[in-house]
Amino acid sequence: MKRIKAIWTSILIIAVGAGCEPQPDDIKLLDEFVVSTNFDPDADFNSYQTYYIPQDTIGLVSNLASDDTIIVGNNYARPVVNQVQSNMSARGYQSVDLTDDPDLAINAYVLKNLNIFQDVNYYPGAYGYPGYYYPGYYGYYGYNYYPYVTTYAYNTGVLVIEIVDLKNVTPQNEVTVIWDAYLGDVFSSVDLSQQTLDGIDQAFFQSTYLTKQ
Amino acid sequence: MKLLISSAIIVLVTAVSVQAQDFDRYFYLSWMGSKPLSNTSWNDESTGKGVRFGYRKIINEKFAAGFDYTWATYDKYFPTATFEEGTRAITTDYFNYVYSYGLTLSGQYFLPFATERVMPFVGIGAGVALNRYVQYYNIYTEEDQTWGFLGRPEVGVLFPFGGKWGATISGQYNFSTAKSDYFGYDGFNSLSVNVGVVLMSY
Repeated sequence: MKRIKAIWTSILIIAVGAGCEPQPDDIKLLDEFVVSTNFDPDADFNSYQTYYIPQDTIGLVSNLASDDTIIVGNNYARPVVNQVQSNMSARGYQSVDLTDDPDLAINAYVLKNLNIFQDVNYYPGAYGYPGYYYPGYYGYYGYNYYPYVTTYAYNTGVLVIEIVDLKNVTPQNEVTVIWDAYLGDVFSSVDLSQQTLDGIDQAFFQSTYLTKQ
Repeated sequence: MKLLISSAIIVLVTAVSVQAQDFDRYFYLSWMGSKPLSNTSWNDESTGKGVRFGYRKIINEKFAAGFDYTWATYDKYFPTATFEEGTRAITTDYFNYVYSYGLTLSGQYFLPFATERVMPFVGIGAGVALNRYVQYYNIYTEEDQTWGFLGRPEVGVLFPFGGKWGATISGQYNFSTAKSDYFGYDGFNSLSVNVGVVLMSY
């Protein structure tokens, strides 16, 4: 009886120990965005002069109902657009209207409930990489988003900023995303606005090739 | 008065000593502090987040045998940095964690100069290690879990207080082959120090 009690006590202590795994501090984990950028090595960033970015709005791509509160109103979209414009201007590119035949188009949107970074890590070429797709949002054809690879049940989200080459449309009427940036997670931040602005700056900072010299 | 106190202490110690030498097994639970000795570029931080639990059966006055179970968490914070690979760059701060578990069969030899109240020993343990290597950044994690052999030489001292209770202090070198190819870990070796309480059984 004494031995059985000792065995059960041992098992209990071992089980408790196995379940005791300290985690990092949430605040420390979430107070900065992960900023991932990528570019098309064939793009000559010095060859572009002008760009267009929609004002006062960014997009939302979600596999959930459109109940998003991040991009509604001017509290988020406008600062995002301003920060992108500020960085593009600092790199020597000129903002123009869509009717002025811009060399580049910039698209900013929030991807919700999609695990972006794991896809970047484990499935190169499937997600988050610049490549061809059919243009739609500038009035050509129906818009095709990137194929979804993996979705998760919990809320995650990234802010995506893409630069599309409108100057070199292929004979098949395709354009190329020559640069993209993924900033996240926008649904688990400590200070969404400031982290977003810092993240946009970081995206450009780590993309030194993105310049009109 | 001094004589009275001294006599009382002598009587007490004698009584305790007589009882202490009679225990035939013991359990212990100790705090474990550890320092990684290998792959220190991934994590070189010492940790106090560790526990050791074990059992010993006294075989004779020189030898004891039993098992040890240990768990420890090693963690290290890395400030924000940018990592480039081909055309891609990722900037983040992150934490590297190692959740380390060990289960060994262990034997110990009480040194010849051991007394009833102070029992120095050397020991050796062999068993399995389970290590979970986890990298946390923002809400994302990358993880690899590996098993390996665990070898554990140790030195220590057992302090029977008399009655049911005692204390122990020891140090171990932990050699483990629980490597992680994913994180470039070719094994996990560490140095540990334990301080704990002992529960004797008669």
